[in-house]
This record gives sequence, C-alpha cells and structure tokens, in this order.
Amino acid sequence: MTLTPMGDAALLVTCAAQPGAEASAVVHALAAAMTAAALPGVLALVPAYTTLLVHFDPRTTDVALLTGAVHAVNSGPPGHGLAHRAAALRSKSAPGAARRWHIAAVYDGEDLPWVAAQLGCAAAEVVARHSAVEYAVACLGFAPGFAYLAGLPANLHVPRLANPRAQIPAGSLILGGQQTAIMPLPMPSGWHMLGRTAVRLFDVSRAAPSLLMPGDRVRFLPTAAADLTGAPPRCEVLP
Amino acid sequence: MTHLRVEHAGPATTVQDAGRLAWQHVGVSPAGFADPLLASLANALVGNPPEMAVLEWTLHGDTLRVVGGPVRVAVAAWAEVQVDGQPAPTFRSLRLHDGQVLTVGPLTQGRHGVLAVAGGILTPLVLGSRAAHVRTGVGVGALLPGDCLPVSADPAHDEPDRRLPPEHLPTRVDTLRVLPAPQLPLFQPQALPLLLAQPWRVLAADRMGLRLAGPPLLLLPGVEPVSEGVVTGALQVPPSGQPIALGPDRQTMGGYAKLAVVVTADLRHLAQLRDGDAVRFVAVDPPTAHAARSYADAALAAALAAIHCVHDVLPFESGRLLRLLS
Repeated sequence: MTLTPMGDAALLVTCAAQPGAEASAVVHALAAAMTAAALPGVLALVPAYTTLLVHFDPRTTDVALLTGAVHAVNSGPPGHGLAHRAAALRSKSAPGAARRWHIAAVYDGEDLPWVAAQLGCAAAEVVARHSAVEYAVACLGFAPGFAYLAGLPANLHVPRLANPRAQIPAGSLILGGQQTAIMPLPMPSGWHMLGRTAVRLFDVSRAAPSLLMPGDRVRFLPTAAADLTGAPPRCEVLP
Repeated sequence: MTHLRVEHAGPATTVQDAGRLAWQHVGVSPAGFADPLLASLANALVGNPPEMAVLEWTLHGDTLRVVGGPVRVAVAAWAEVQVDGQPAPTFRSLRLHDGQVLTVGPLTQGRHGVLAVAGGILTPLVLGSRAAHVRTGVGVGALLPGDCLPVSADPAHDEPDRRLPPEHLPTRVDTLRVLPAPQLPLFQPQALPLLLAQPWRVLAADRMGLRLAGPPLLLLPGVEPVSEGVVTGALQVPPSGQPIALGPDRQTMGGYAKLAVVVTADLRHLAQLRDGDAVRFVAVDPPTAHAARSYADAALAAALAAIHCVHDVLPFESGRLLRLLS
C-alpha cells in the first residue's frame, strides 16, 4: 500500500498494482473502514479500481494524520486488519458485504448487430454471453449512479466508438472496452448500445440515492420489450 | 414570495454554493463556487455566512428585476452595474425595492462574478447543496429570460449598507503554483520541466475544465493509466499531450494521467482565466502549498474584518432619500 498526496487537499492510497477482484476487495474494505472511522476533516472517499482517494480539508487535518489513520486501519487489531476484511469481502462472509441485483434488460440496442459482426457471432450469442455472467461494481463515476461493472467476458471485448454519441437515453445498457454499464441519465457516450433497462440508478429522493454501490453484484435477465416495467429490480443479500 | 426575475441572462449563469464534495463516491460531481473568495466577500457584504448560495456569472452578468422584496444584494465582479439605469457600485451592498432592475454587463476582468442576496438564494437543496451541475441536470443553472429565482427578503432592512475597502479587493495572478501529481512517474522525464518552462494558452474554458495549449507533454511508451479519483486543479493529460486543468464541474474519476495539481490557494485564479489568456505554472513543495493556503485564508479574514458600514445615498436611492426627508 502506497500513499501519495494529490495536491494539498487529497491523499491517494494505492492498494494494488493491477485492477481485479482482489484489488477491489481491498479498496472497498479500506473505504468502509475509513467511512466508519469518520475522521475529522475527511470530506470524501472515492474508491476506484486500485486506489482510494481521500479528499480532506487542509485547515482541519493533514497528510501525516491521515497516513497514520490509513496505516492503523491497514494493520488493525489482530485478525481484523485490512487483509482479513478484504478476504471476508471476497469470500462474501462479511455480513451485508454484498448484494446481488437481477436487472431486466431488453437486448434491442442499435449497436447489437455491429457488436455481433465485430465478434463474428450471432446477436443471440452476444446476448447469451452478456447475460450468462455475474458482474461486480468496481466503482462509480462518470455520472451520478454510473457503475463501472467488472467481469465482462473476454469474448465480448470490442473497441469503443471512434465518434462518441452526443447523447444516449437513460437506462441504456452499454458495452465499451472491457466493461459494461447502464447509463443513469441522458449523457454523451462512446460505448456501444446493447439494449435498455428500466432501472432508476440514481434518485435523490431515496435515502441511498445510488441503487448500485461498490462491491454489489449484477446479473442481467434478457426480457421481452412488453415485459419491461419500472419496478425496482430484485435484490438478493448475499449470505 | 420574493424573487429575482431574469430579464436578460448571461451565457452561463448558475446558482453555486460550496458544492457536494461528499457524494463523489457515487459519481456526483462536486460543482460549487468557481471563485470561493468572491462568494465569501459578496456574502459578507450582505451579512451572510461565507458558503451561502450565490448567483455565479460567466463572462457576462444578467438583468434581474426584483419582484416582492425589498432585497439586499452585493455584486462581487469587475463589471458595469446599474440599478434602474443609474450606475451602482460593486463590492458594496445595495438595497433594492420591488420592481427595481439590476443590470450587470460584461465582465471586464476575470471569467466569473458573483451576486449575493441577504438571507440567501432559496432554490431547492439537492443532496444538501444548491450548487448547479448543468451537465447532469442537478441544481439551478443555465438561467434563461423569464426564470424566477426565489430569494430571501432583506432580513435586516434597517441595517446600514456595507462596503469592502479597495485595498482589499481580490487580486489577479497568472502564475499558478503546482504540486507534482502521484502519476508523475508515468510521464517522460522532460514533461514536468516542459510544463514549467513557458506560458500556456487557454484554448477553451468552462466550469468542467480548461484546455491548455503548448508543447506536447508525453507519457512513457506503453503506459496505460488506471482510472482513479481526481481533484479540482489536477492537470490531466490526454494522449494529445495537451493538458486539461480540471474545474469544479469535473467528474469524480478520470482515466487520463495527471502530471501536476494546482494548489488550493490558487484554484480561484485558475477559475478566473479566460479563453486566450496565458498562464504559467511554478512547482512548489507541500509546505509551500500549505503556507499559501494559510496566507490566502489570512488575507480573506483581513478583508472580512475591513468591511465597514456606509451611510451615503446612491443615485438610484433618491426615492429612499425623499422618504427619509419627508
């Protein structure tokens, strides 16, 4: 674990060299522990693939204090250090550690034929591959409630659009590079449109505005257009 | 309900406060004051706490009609200001009555100016903040003629007006201090010296970021940065080698490598740069950045302490003078 200041009001904690399930587990365990610690002067904690960015108020705290706090969390009491918590997250043994969302998706996106042609398979095969696996929310960014979903099978990796679209509709199910996602609100995008969902990913009137949180698991259920409703998706709390 | 009705709108007027820093983990951009010093001064002139929501102008002010009221406002901007066609001072509170029209023209210096209203601008709170993030449709921004901005009526109408002495007016700086960013090792060794060696021209600026033009700043061959959280003031470098300085409407994470980060004390100077301006960067160490922050805070405290009451009657207040005399 390395700690480097990013400017004079943020500290970047690098938890792993490479992105992946292990890196995400450590980042999420650190974010949870730092949130629980509620350190004075910490303004925001932003988890990403291999890093946690700690935004702080330089009038209230400083890099030395925060470095000490991160190291304390990292070592922790015997058997309860970060490595232990991350392992618990990975094995899903930590209580409430992860949720699995089952999200209905209509695979009728305008880029589906292009993606299929690029991969040299039928459109139905693209749908089968995309809906066969479970994804993990690595982090949120780009837009409110936009979850970067890790776990896209290698046989669905296609280059992004050379010319991003100026706007795609909210709910669009999209695919780009090694990742897949749902667009929470109308935004520009360079990812391919595979289909659509009816989930409200972000709603400021909810106690937890973002439906998906880091560490959540997501599965897509191929659904006929007539059966797509705005009902909240089924959520399973993993044991 | 008292409000300000927009008669003519500047190109990008928004409501801003300290923003939504705490929601970045779910992808919400912080937004917030581009120039927190102007906001603090304007708010202090009308008796508000420093982080109360203000109207922020970009390049050009608005024409606003008071409906209801009375209201007390202060303009912190370099611009020609009129009330009912009569000249009115900036960096001084103004008392406006029902039907009076405040006109703020083109900003003659800097990119942003601020209007504070005593008791605050009363647009709805979203996630604890009134700050507008126009790209994601959060808060009230991109004002148009006919829009009505709910504001407080003057909570202390009998109090005298207040003025900032000219010696405490904010200054302008076009050499910004930077700290090297954590991803510096991903760059070719000459990238940082090149950043510091000559002025950069601002190609296009908005609240999300400033595109800068100069010699290309290049990554080491084969480097693929992993997306990570970003800060306002980060100089991120896309494959073109032309840096983008991130503003308050930045996204929460970024995939481009960051070469350096503007110190927080200089972020307001970054936000005040206009298209075509030249800007230089100078590298400092963390203690210097910390000292710069303390110095800026002390300068603001001194300015706030120097704000004093005034009893003069402004040309557009002749109606008030007549009322006083009668």
